[in-house]
Amino acid sequence: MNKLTDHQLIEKILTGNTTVFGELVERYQNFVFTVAIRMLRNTEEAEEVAQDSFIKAFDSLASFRGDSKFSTWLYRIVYHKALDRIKRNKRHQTYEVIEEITDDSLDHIENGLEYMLSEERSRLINDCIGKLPEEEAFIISLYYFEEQSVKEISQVTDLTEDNIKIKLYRSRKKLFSLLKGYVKPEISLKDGKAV
Amino acid sequence: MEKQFNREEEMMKKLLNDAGIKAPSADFKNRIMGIVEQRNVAISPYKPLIPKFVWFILAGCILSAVIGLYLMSANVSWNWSLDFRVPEFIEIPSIRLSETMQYAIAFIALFFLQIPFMKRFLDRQYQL
Repeated sequence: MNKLTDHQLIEKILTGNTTVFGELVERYQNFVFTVAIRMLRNTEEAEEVAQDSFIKAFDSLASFRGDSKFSTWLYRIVYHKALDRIKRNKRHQTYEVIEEITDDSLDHIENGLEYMLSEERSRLINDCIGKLPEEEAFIISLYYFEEQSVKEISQVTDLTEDNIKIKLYRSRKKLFSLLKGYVKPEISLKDGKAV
Repeated sequence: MEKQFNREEEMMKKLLNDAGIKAPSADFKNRIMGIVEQRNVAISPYKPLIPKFVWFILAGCILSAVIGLYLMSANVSWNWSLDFRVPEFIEIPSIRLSETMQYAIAFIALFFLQIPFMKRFLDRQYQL
């Protein structure tokens, strides 16, 4: 069976076949939920926001004119819903320590991570992403995981392309320096040096 | 510098892939579909506010009016002209304002002029 494109599915939904919406949900639920969790840091809230976003997408599907990709449009809804929720909770954490990252420290991080079990590694990376500002956690997920272009991200977030590039640069440095802090002790143990 | 940049990019990709994605709870999709079906709203596909044929009719009207008037070449001439002057029996008081007052009024007018811009700016911030 051929897989229908998002646009074909949407056309079907608009002609009244609402059950097809389930397929769109299935396609995007994991990523939507993941970015929601990265921004909100709370499973229950992330699930609520993800659900609200899908409902909102369904309600305003008629106004989706296909100028952009459906995913870009959906992520836009998710991003703004999550920001609204964060604003309502009024909890903002800031993290502003940027260390100099050299080629050496990249080696350290890479070796240290290799040394870990995959679940442990995934948990550690997620913990570190969780310490980035919400916006940046969202942007790096879109850019490095979903491989959306800077232009698409700028449509999603209403930020300028230059601003996004700066944020990508900064969050990269922050993530590396966070990881560096976690990974270093492991390396010293492995090398047999005194900690 | 360039080399390190590329290396960082690659590592970020790997990190984000290692971080993986999380799945929502198992009945997530069913819950959404439940709500969606409950609504049961007949959503109609996007229709432009002014349909195409109305545009054609409008264009036709304007064109025929212009051409019609041109063909009729309006032989009617106005031998009286409209008088827009204020009748002399109404006396309009003239107001004299000091220069400072005039500036003040101008600035307040500018201030009101800002309101639509501010409104648009705020709307854009809170849309969606």
